[in-house]
Amino acid sequence: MTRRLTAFVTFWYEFIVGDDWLVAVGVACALALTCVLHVTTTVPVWWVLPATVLIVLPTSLWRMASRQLPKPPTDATSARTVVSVLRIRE
Amino acid sequence: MSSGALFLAVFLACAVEGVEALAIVLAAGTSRGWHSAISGVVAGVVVLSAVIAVLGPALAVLPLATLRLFVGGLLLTFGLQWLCKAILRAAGLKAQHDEVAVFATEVAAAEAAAVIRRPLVGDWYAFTLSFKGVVLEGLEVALVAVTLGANQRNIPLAALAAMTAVLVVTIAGVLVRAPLTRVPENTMKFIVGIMLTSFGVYWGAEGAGAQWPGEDSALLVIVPGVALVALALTALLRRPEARPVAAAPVPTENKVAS
Repeated sequence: MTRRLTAFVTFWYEFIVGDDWLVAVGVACALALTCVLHVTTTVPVWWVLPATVLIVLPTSLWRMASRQLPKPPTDATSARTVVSVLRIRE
Repeated sequence: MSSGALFLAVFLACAVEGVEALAIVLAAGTSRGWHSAISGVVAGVVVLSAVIAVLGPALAVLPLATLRLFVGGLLLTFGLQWLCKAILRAAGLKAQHDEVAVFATEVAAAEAAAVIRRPLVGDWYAFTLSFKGVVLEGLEVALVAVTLGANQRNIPLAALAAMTAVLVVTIAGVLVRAPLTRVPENTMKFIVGIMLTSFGVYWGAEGAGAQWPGEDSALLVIVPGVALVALALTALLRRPEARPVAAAPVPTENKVAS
């Protein structure tokens, strides 16, 4: 039961939040800020979401791009690669 | 939003996910047999129809401001995710979605799997493969179609766009009997990402209490604005020496839609 519940929650988390939690959090914060500014001030608040897109989209892209790019091998990863190649050859 | 934009957004989103689901169903059908694969498709369509049937009327009774806040947030989240992936693919930093590779991976996995019979299902693997393909690829666009339609108080038009897209992809799949490799998936996802993000910004802000300068005509600035930002980011990320990343085989389990 617990496993199924965990799988259910995980599915919906991955479905809505996706690859980068920053997007969902950024959108939620921006909507909340728009509501708060609308209720507490008289300034126009339409600019909050466009500004959020201008901040969140490049930031998320940068985070995802840095995950996509191959990392330069460190000594540790090189050693692991050698070990795994040797194991495959065995 | 005009009816044309609603139709286009839902049609493109459904078509692009339909193409991806088609590759999975074709793999199940050609390698394991069509009876169980088609049973899986039918079961998946029934589940998606149930989601739409429950969610559509439920959204329709919400107050417009609440609906727009919810819909705007959801569309903006989905739209930014679609846009991020489309930009990374266009910039050559992420593998292009390769239907042939998906098809080959699924066929290899299907051929290796054992035949298990269940009540009413001759081949459980083919059934679940098709079912998961349809449900996982279809759930996001079903939500997009319902929320866009509910927000415009025009769910029938959104449903018509979705059904048209599914019909077009199905006919193309039956005629070609192979993954639809000529469909410009990344371009379509780019456009859908721009539209979802733009409408998410517009409705989310309205739902949160904002008033757009020029009201509906603000969309005529938001959509090109988002498109320009996306194109500029693509140009910035695209390195001169970068070549498109070759598509890697897609794992059968835990496949992320879109």
